[in-house]
Amino acid sequence: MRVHVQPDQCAGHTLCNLAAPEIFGLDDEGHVLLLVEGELPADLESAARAAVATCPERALVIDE
Amino acid sequence: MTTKESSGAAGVCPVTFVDRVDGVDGVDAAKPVIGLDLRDPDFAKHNYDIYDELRDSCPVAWSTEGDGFWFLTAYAPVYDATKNDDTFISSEGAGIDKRPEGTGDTMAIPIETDPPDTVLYRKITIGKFSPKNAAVLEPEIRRMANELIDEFIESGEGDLVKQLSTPLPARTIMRMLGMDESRWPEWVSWIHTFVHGQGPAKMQAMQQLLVEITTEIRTRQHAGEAGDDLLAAIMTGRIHDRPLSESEQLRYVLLMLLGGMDTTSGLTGNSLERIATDPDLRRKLVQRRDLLRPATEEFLRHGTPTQGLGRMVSKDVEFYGQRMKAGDRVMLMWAAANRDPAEFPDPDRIDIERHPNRHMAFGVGLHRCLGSNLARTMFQVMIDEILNRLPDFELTIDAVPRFDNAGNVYAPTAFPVRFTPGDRMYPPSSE
Repeated sequence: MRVHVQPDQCAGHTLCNLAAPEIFGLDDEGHVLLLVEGELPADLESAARAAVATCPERALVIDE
Repeated sequence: MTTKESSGAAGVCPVTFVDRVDGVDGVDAAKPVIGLDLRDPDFAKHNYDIYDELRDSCPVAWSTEGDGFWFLTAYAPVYDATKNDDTFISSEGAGIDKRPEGTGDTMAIPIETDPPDTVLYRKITIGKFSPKNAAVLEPEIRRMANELIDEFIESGEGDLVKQLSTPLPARTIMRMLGMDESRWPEWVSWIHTFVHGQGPAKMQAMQQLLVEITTEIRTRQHAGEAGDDLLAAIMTGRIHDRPLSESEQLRYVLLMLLGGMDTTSGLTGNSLERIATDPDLRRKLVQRRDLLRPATEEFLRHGTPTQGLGRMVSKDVEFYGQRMKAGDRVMLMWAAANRDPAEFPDPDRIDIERHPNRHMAFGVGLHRCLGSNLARTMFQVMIDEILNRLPDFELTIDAVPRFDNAGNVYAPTAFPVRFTPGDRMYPPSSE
């Protein structure tokens, strides 16, 4: 599983960081910063799904 | 044109469906017409009942009050309108009313701007409101909270809105702007009159605010040194390769003050009311303070202080079966969307571990609340210290008083409590 952020869709809610801080960090403005490039470790998959589901902007996408 | 009464006629917000007789493009939904006045004290008393009723029968309704406005109450239309900044513009005002002619230079920045300028204006201060900077400010916000609680902790009674949730956000934003914090009561009073007042009093408060902010800006100019605080960021800010004009600086500072005060106090008061009346919720929060962070999102959803914001339709458009015309006002009701059962199962229930929780208390899209990280920090510190120092607080009145016009900010004006007295944390100040 991989995740990506749709360009210009993050508005800085920071809820992905709350749900999965190992995958979604925050930059100096509070926008999402993807910490894991490429294939996600299996043990982070459920956290990734939770983070994607809680983004109010629908900015995060899972590529299976 | 024919009309028929809806089944909601006996409810809290009667609806008349006006049949469309000019259906030329296949849209045949009737136009639901209501007479809802968001400034009516009755609205503040029944707001959530009204949302529930309208969301079911007509999530996109037209109110004939004032200049008239579309009233959006379901999650999907509110979300879709907010994400469409070309059709639903902000530069003609984010309140209920149409902007009066010739008042372009009173628009607040960046809330009453449109893209691409919105993002450029936000860049000027966004770092000051980042999660990182909120974390830097947290210890002094906590100290301020504890000093404010010290003022009443020994007596066993106090007012958590008047003595804590009102002064703390006001003093925090004034400190960030480098202003004289001790004048917070004056500033709060002007802001309250401006936000909640009407007619001449409102205009007078607006004038007073503009004069005072201009003085702050000019005093800083004469001091020679810009400094590195929030006011400095605004005064040295640039857009399109030019410095902000004095008018722009003024309108930017105004929004910092408007945004920073009532809303955070409203969230805190609304949440304290839930905690005071729900023993299980209180127990859970007292014991599991790690849940305060997710609980913040649930309190934002459930007790949304900024109940809605306005937009103007920029061009004729069909939206959710309704025909909107260029120039129409639209109210996006975050608070109503945040109780939509289609998005939030059992929406009236507080579930501090609710997931997902895609609430729109801060709005969504480009205009999303700039101060949200700071607001969350101030809120969490206040709740945390209340639960640490007066965990058994009891409300001493039956009904929490709120500002009359919930259309602007849904917020308690007082929250008197009694509790087991405790000790001061800091010695009394020598002032």
